[in-house]
Amino acid sequence: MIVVGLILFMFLGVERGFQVTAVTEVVQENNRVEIERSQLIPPGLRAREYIAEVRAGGEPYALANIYEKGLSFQEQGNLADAHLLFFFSAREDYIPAIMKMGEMADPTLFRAEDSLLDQADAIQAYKWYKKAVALGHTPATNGIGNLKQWADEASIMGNPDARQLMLNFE
Amino acid sequence: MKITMRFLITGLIGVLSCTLQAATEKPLLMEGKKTLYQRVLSIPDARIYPAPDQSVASTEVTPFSVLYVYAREDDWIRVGHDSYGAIAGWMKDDRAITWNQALTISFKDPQNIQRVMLFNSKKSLQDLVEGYDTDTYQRLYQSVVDGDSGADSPVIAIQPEAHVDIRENFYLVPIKQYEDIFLDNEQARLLEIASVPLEVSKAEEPGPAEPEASPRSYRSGIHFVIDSTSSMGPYIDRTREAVTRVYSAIEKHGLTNQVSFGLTAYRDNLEQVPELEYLTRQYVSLEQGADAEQFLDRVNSLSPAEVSSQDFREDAYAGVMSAIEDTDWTDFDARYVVLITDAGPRESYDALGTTGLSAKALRQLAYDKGISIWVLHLRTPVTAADHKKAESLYKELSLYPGIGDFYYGVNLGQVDEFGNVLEILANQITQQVLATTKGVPPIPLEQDVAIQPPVQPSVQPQLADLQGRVARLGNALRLRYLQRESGEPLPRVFSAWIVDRDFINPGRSSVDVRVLMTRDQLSDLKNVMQQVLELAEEGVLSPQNFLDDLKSLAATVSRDPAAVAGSTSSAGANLAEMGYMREYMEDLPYTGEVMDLTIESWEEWSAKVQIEFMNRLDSKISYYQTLHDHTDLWVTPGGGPVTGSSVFPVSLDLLP
Repeated sequence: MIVVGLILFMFLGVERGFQVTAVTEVVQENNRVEIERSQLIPPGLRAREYIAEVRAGGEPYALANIYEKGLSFQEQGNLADAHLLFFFSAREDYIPAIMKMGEMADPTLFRAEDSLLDQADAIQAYKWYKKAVALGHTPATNGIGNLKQWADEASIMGNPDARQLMLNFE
Repeated sequence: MKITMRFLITGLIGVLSCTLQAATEKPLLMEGKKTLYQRVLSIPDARIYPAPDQSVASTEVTPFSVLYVYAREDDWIRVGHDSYGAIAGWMKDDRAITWNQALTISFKDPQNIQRVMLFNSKKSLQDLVEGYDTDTYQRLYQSVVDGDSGADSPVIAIQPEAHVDIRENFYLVPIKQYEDIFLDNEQARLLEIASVPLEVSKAEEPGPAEPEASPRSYRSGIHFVIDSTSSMGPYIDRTREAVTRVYSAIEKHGLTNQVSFGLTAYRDNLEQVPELEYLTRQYVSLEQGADAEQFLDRVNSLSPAEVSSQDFREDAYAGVMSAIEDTDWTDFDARYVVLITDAGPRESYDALGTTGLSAKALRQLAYDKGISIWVLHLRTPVTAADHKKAESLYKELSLYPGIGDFYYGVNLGQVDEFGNVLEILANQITQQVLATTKGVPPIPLEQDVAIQPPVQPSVQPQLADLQGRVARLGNALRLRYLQRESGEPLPRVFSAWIVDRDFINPGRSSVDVRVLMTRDQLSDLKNVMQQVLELAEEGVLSPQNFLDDLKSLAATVSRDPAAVAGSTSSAGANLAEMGYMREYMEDLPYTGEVMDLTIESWEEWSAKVQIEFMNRLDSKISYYQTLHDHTDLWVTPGGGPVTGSSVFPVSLDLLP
C-alpha cells in the first residue's frame, strides 16, 4: 500500500474552533481511493502557539497586540483562542483584557455567543473587576456595583454563587 | 412527647473558662495520623473535674462542646478546648462522643423540600430506602406533621420548621457514622447523627430558663419603646389610653401581676441636637408596671420633645437596646418589646446611630434573651420618602425564627387605627396568659401552623396576619413554659438516622454534610490550592510543563515527600496520590474533582474544560479566603478571640 502525502485542508468556521477537512489519497494496487476524514484543530491551539511565540520573544510583551488578536479570534467565533489570549493579557495586568474577562463572566452582561463559558460566573467577574480596581481602573467599580445588585437579588433566590459573592460585601 | 421533641439547633460551643497549660503540651494523635488529634463532643450532664475524681468540685460543660483529648486514664479523659495546651480538666469518657472526623450536617431551607425526619434505627430507614417506599414515607411524614404519629412510629423527631442559616447561627448536629447508599437512582448517604432535645439544651443555660423549685404562674412582660420626638404626642396619649383599658381587662380576669408593662422613651443623637434632652429614658420598669397606677403615674410625665431632631430618622435601635439590656426579664415567660415610631431607624452604618448595630444584630440580641420585638410603624405622610426603607429594616428587626415578622404599618399614621391595633394585640397576650392560668393546653408545635388567633380576626388582612403570628408565638412560649414546669424528664441525648437526600425528590439534597475545620486548616488548604491554581493557569496557557511543575510542587507541599517520589512516577496518579491530599481531608466521605485529577485526564481535556475546571478551583479558593477573613463566622471552642483553632463547618462540596 502506498500512501500519497496529499492532504488538502479545508477550513470551515465553526462556533468554537476551526473545522479542518483532511483528505488523504491512498493508492492501493493501482486503485486510487480517496478517504475523507474530518477533525478539529484543537480549540486553543493557535492561541497557545501564539503565546509560545510571544514568550520566546521575551518581555515586555506587546499586550495590546495580543488583546487585539484575541478580539479578532472572538469575532471569528474562535472563543477558546480568544479566551486564552484575553486571559494571558489579563494575567499580565493589561486593563482592557482584565475588563474583558470580567465582562465575559458577568451575569449582568453575559452573552453566550461571545463567551467560551456556557454560563456566567459571578465569582470570576468579581475577581477580575477587583483586580482592575486594584490597578487603579476606577470604572471597574461600576461592574462591582452591578454584581452586588445582582447578588443581592439572586442570593434571595438561593443562587450559591450569589451567596458566596455576598460574603465579600458583608 | 416523642414527636414534639425537637432537637438542638443552637450555639453549642462551650464557654468554660480554662487554664492555660504549657504551650508545648499536645493532644493525643488519632491512630495512624501525624497531625490530627483525637476529638470528642461533650454530651448533656458532662462535667469537668480538676482531677480524675468525682468527689471533687466540678463544672458543667455546654452540651456538644468540641474538646481535644490530651490523656486517657481508666474511664477518664483529660480534655482541652484547643490543640495548643489549653487544658480544661478531666471528664468521664462516657460523657463524651468520639468525634474524630468532625463531620456535621446543616439543614437546607425546608421551604421547598420536606423537612428531614429522624428515625430511631438504621433498619427502619434502610427498609424504606431499599424499597424506595415513597407511599409509606409520605404516610409517616404526614402523621408526624399532623402530630398524630403512633407510639410504634419509627420517627422520633423532625427537622424544625424554621430555617436556621448555619453561617449566621452556628449549630452542631454531629455525624457519628455514615453509609453510602442509593436512594432510587441517586447516590445518597445514611447518616447517624447525635442530638439533644431542645428543652434539655435550654435547661443547661443559666438565668431565667432555669426551672424553679415550686410551680409559679405564667407571666408576660410587654415593654413599650416609644419614639418621643416632637411629632409623637398623639400616639403617646393613645398608648396611655390603650394600656389603661388593657389593665382593666387584666384586673377583670384576676391576672394582676401576670401581665406587666414597661416603657422606655427614646429620641436621637444628643451631640447633634442637645436640646432633645435624652437619647433613651426608662419611665417604667416591668416590675413597676405590674401595677396599673404606678405605670400611669410614671407615664404621665412623658411628653414629646419640643425641638425637632436632625432628620426623619431617629435612633430607634438605642431605645430597643435599652429595653433589652436595662430591663429585668428574669420572671417573665413571654417577653415582648413593642416599638412605636413614625421614623426610620439609624442602621449600623449611620454615623448618627449610637448602637453600631444592624437590625439583624439587634434582633439576635433580643432573641438570645428570649425576647420578640414588635414594631408599630406610623407611616405618616411627613416621612413618606423613608417608609419603604424603614419598613424593610423594621421587618428584619422584628423577624422571629420560624414564625415571621411582627411588623405592622399604620397607614397615614392614623391614631385610631394605631390605638385599636395596640389594644387588640395587648389583649391577645392577656388572653394567652388567661388560657395558661385556666389550664387550657397549648397546641403541639407540629400543628401550630394552623393556629388561628383566639380573638376574632380583624377584617384587615395585615392585622389578621399579625394576630396569627402572635397566636403562634404565644402558643410556643406557653408550650415551653408548661414543659418546663411539668418537670417531665427528657432524654439527655439521642441518636437518630437520616438520609441526606429529599426522599421524594432524591435529586435534591436535604442536608449539607460539613466538616468542622479549624482556621489554620483552611488557611493551609487555601495556600496549597492557590499554588495548584497557579500551575493550572500556566498549564492552560503552556501545557507542556504542567506535569513536571505539579510534581515539583507536590514535593514541597506534601507532608510526606518520600511517598510523593514513589507515587508521582506511577501512571494515572491523581493529585491526592501525588501528595496534595491534606490529612484533615483523608477518610472524609467525599470525592473532590481536584484531588481526583490525573495528568492523563487534564491532557485529554479541551481548553474549555480545563478553563472551567480552573474557574471552579478559583471559586473555591476565593471562598476559602473570604471565609478565612470573615472572623465573625468563626467559633472559638471555649470562647475567646478568633484564633487558628477556631472552627467553621465547611461543606464537603466545597472541598477540592
